[in-house]
Amino acid sequence: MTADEKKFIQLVQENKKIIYKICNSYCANKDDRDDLAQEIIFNLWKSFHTFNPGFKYSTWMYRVALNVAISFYRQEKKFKYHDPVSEGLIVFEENPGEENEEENNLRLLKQFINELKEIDKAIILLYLDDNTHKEIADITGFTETNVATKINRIKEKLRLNFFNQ
Amino acid sequence: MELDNLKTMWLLNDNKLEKGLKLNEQTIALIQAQKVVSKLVPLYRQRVVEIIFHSIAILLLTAFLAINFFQFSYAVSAFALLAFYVATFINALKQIKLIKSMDYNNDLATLQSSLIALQTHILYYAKLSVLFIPSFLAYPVIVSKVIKDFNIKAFADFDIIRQSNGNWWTVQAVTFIILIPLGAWFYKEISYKNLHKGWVKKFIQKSSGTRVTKALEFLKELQTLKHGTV
Repeated sequence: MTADEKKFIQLVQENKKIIYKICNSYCANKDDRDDLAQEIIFNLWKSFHTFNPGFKYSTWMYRVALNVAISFYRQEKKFKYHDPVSEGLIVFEENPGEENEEENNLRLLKQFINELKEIDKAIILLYLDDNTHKEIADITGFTETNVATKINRIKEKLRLNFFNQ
Repeated sequence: MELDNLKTMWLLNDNKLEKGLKLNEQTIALIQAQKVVSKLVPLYRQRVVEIIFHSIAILLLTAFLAINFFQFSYAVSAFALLAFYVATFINALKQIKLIKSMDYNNDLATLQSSLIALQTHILYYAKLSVLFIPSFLAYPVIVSKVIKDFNIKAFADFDIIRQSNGNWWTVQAVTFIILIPLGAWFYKEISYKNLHKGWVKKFIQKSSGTRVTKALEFLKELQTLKHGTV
């Protein structure tokens, strides 16, 4: 394994939560999530050599992953770059147990995010992951003002969803 | 449920993921080792075929224009069709440039807009065909002249301009004058910016399908977020 390959795997390891959360928000079933995760990793690897050191790795990762997820979502998994790999790429081993109120709210939040439109989903994921408005504007290419407006509207929508629950 | 709790709730998710998320490094190594072909390659090949086809048409029409340059009606007919093929040739070249510049490193608005431009390519042909409707009257003129020039006996009297005593040319000229400005207006109107107009949306749906319409609606949303006010 080359030094580049090792460095790439280490980076993905450090930021695997980003990929997992994006896959979970954009795909409803496990097979689609696995396909999307592979496609994201493939595109990250492809653009790894052209990575601009002026950016943070996480910003680059969000850009590539969200771009793939949105394109993937729009194409309804019609395209695949490679043969499917049998084993899951990112696996989450959850400890089974009783669901308390916090966990119930978290489950609802994820469900409401999944129901959002592609762009709204991307913006709220970036917001919840603690990116600033400027960083979100940088990743999406939208103006900061529009990002702020969108966040408020999405939050209001989520609030209504929780209220109506 | 307070909205301020959203981030706290999300943090709970992060903590759970921190503990339970496992990455399959072997699978990543497999992906790295694969010799993959981009999904844009078939699209690239299609555009190359288009360029070859349009180049042949341009070459043949240029030859026809050169031979008949001083016969006004034939020259204008050839020129009208030449303009159509040059426009489609340039568009195919632009698409190839777009495919080559595709980079998932770009921001969402830029990359998704480029992908939509590729996805909605078919609409360009639909718009251009409407713009060039009057020019298509030139096809029979040119074909009949070529057949005549090749001295095929069965078609010896096939020259439309001569057979119609110049009336065909008059019809063509009048059609040009009336339809070209109309076509230009139509070409400009058929845009994602006018999707709110019922007839524009209907034309796009009928000529290019629902998929293209949805892509253009998405483009409208992206462009508003990038340049406008939401």
